[in-house]
Amino acid sequence: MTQEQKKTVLVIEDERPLLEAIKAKLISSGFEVVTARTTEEGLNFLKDGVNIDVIWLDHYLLGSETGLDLVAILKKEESKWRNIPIFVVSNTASPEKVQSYMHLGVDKYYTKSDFRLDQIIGDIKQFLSTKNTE
Amino acid sequence: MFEIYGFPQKKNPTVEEFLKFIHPEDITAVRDKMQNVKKNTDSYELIYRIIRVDGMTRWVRVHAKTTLDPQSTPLKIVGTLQDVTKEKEVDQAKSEFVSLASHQLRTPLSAINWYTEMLIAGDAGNLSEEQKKYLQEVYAANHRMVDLVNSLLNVSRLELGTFTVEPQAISIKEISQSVLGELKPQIVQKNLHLKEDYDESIGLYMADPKLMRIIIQNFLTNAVKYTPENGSISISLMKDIENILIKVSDSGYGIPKDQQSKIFSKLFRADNVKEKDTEGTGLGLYIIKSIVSESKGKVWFESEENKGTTFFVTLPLSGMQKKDGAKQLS
Repeated sequence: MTQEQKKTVLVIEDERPLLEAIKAKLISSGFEVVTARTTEEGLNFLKDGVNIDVIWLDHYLLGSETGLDLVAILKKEESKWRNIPIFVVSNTASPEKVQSYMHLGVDKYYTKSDFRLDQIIGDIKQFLSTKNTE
Repeated sequence: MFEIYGFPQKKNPTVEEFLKFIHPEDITAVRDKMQNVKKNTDSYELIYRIIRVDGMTRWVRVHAKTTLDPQSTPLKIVGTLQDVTKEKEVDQAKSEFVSLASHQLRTPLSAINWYTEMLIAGDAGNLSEEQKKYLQEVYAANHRMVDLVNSLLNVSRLELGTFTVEPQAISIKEISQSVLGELKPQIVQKNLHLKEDYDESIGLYMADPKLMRIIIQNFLTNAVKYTPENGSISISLMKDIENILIKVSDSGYGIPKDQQSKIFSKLFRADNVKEKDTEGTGLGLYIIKSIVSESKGKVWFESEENKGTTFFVTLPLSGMQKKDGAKQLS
């Protein structure tokens, strides 16, 4: 991935060690990364006009809102961010919540402890390249 | 009994009067058990809920013998009845604790997984061969811990009854082949002879793919793990007019005769395999038994020490029944 082609991932994850690991692996895989630990911080990047290509989202976050609350906002009909791909990566979302995420239109759900970082990032890369060729 | 059921002592109730107090969700299981008693001398144990005369729900354990008439209709039940409500509540609290603790464990395990993965990949600089080898051990051990946590979560979901069953048309053959694909490195390393036999007329079967995978994965993993080098393992899928039959055989260490009755118990591992392998959790067969029972199927085995074991599972041709719950098994 060359400099001008670099895609930006917004990572929203409350656990700092995990956030740092995701960020480091994404950077070494050729992405630009911005990070947030609450839905509000994440939404602010979008409101500030930062060009986000993909959102990496945990379910339980700092603050009172969960990832599901953010997705509900982003996927509203009138939302200008509704086409940003969302990958939910969480250890704790129940099947009902996973179904709600999928129903709202997120692109993939992963149980954190069952997947390697390079698997998830590989999927994101593949998703973006398919999207680009469409 | 009169005290547990909460009715004034007058005379012994008839079998039908006795059954009237059983919780509607448990009555079928109790009737099935009583009708499956083949001989008057067979005793059985059952745990189920009753709704007392005053409307309270209690858990009871019955250890009894049923006397049958020539048409095999239950005439008389003789045995002991115990109120095990407290025991059940403690079990429930324990399962809830395990579930909560397991969820909390997943976050640090994810951190260990991901940082080790990055170190092995050289993301923080080059490693010596020895450093890489040590980290691979950390990574593998952490995976065992993730598997254990997933198994504990499954057990707590099964025991709390909070798991979902979402049947869909699946190919058991494809699940088996996928599991065998994952096990291929071990099968090759141990030079095991593998035989697969699938009745193609079975086609698609209505079952929850996750649950079916757990059943087949546990059987095949055990077969590979507990069979010495150059041995053989096999899986076959058949059907009769009522059931499908899954059969998994190995020429492995077998289950000692005196421990066969405990093999489906939670956390139990037979002495002969504990001496050879430290990795098992004793949860796999317990989970299989719980899933198969929930699916109105049967599981049993034949085994001889140092000759091998064959596990059999039958599941009704009609498939698994849908069950709503809070959690899927993982």
